Amino acid sequence: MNDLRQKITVQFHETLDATDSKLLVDELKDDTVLLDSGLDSLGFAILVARLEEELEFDPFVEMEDAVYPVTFGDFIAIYERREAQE
Amino acid sequence: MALEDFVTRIKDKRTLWATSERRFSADDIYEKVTELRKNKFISRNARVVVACEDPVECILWMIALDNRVDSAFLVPASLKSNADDYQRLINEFQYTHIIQDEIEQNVEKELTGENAFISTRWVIATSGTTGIPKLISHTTETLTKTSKHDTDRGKDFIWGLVYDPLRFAGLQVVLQSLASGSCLVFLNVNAAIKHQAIEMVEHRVNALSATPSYWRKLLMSAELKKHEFKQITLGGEPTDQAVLTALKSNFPSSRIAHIYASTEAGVGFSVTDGLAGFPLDYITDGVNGNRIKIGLNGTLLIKPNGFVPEMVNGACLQDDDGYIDTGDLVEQTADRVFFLGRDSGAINVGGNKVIPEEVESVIRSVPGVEEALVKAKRSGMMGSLVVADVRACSYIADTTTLKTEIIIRCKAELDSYKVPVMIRFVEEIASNSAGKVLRN
Repeated sequence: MNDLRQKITVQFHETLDATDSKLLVDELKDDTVLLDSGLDSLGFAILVARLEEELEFDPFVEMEDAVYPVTFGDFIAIYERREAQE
Repeated sequence: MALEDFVTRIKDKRTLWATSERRFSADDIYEKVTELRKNKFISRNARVVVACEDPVECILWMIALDNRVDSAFLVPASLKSNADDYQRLINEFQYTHIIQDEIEQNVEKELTGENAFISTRWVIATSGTTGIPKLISHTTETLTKTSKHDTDRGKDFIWGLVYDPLRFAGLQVVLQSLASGSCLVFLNVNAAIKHQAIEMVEHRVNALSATPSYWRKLLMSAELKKHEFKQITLGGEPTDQAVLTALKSNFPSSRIAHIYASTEAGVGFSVTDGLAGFPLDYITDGVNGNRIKIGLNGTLLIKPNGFVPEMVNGACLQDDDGYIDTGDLVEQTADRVFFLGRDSGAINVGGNKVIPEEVESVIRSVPGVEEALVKAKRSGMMGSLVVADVRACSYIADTTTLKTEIIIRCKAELDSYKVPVMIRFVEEIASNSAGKVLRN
């Protein structure tokens, strides 16, 4: 697992705990639909805010290609694209 | 035009309202309305609180009461669940009757006096600039003046309703669809977003008005990949460029408008050029006959064209020149104006308003907290999120435990969107000479 994916996965689980939510799938996979995963949209906003503290960017504020992620794989890809620009 | 006329002029069998269980044609609606009108309490002096659970029932009552009672206070579900505010407002409204599951008469209030009756006043609660709800009075005419009335064109539109029908934004959708003879689908807003999206596909909803945060959720739901909208409307919180661009690329054939509406000014305007903010022309030339300017403290002021909503307690909202302060802070660039937030510091989390003082008082009630400052953090998902700066008492050695206690207290006493997503411990919180926390 690469570093960025690792960070996102850790923060994902911490956000689940922080929002008293539970993972609704067996494990987070690339094809897991985000809104079926256990976090609601407020939970996602919190996850993105926590990642911003750690990574110092919020790809959804800066977003130029304007794609909202459907799956966990999409979500990671958006962060990977943004990190590649650094 | 009375609300009833919008129904009776539809002569065909088209579906005007649909829920997951029922469908209503114009005839069906008229029949229900006639039934409701048999209630003896309906008179030109009656001041009626409409507080039914079922949104369809609420709108049926509106049609039944229009031009037959003095005024009707439309109570959205979120207001009814706040018992203190609800009680205060229905007393301020001086109700004679309440419609819920049953009709309740106010025994302390008699039907007296002759009113200078013009048309039924619709009384709406607005959260105002301070977060304390105020009552504003509208008429059918003011609520429908920007609606389109072409029922031939209207029959091709199927509107989805995701707002509370008795809030200003929801009423606009209900009345727009009624005025243009379009079908209105009452979506099950308590269901998961995925199920709401599936319902939209099933009912072939092709027009929807919702907050930017709601649209982002829809885009993340993957259920609308092949769906087409004729009309996409965004409102209720500032619209950013990312969501506009994403909607255009997902629904290329749709007309996209983001609207700005002020319950107090009773007007709104829409922006359809696909860009965030609004053109500077609106300030120089006005829009829909309304004049707009930026006040000395940076807020947007509107001078409505024609009718001005009244405060039910008689207070005047307008300054000497006729302008109403919307309380929305704006920033002007070379050719555009952008919204920055509320001058009161109120935070808009995905369309839900958070009053910083309320969260601060909960945080301050935790032993070990000396002072707290709650503010907005920009979010690409929800517009804004709530964050807090906290100054701990000097005897606190372990802020980690204090942080946990603050979070537990906030979760117990506040709605989830009001709970700070981040808490930062600081040495100093700026306050003015009177000791008031400096918010901006």
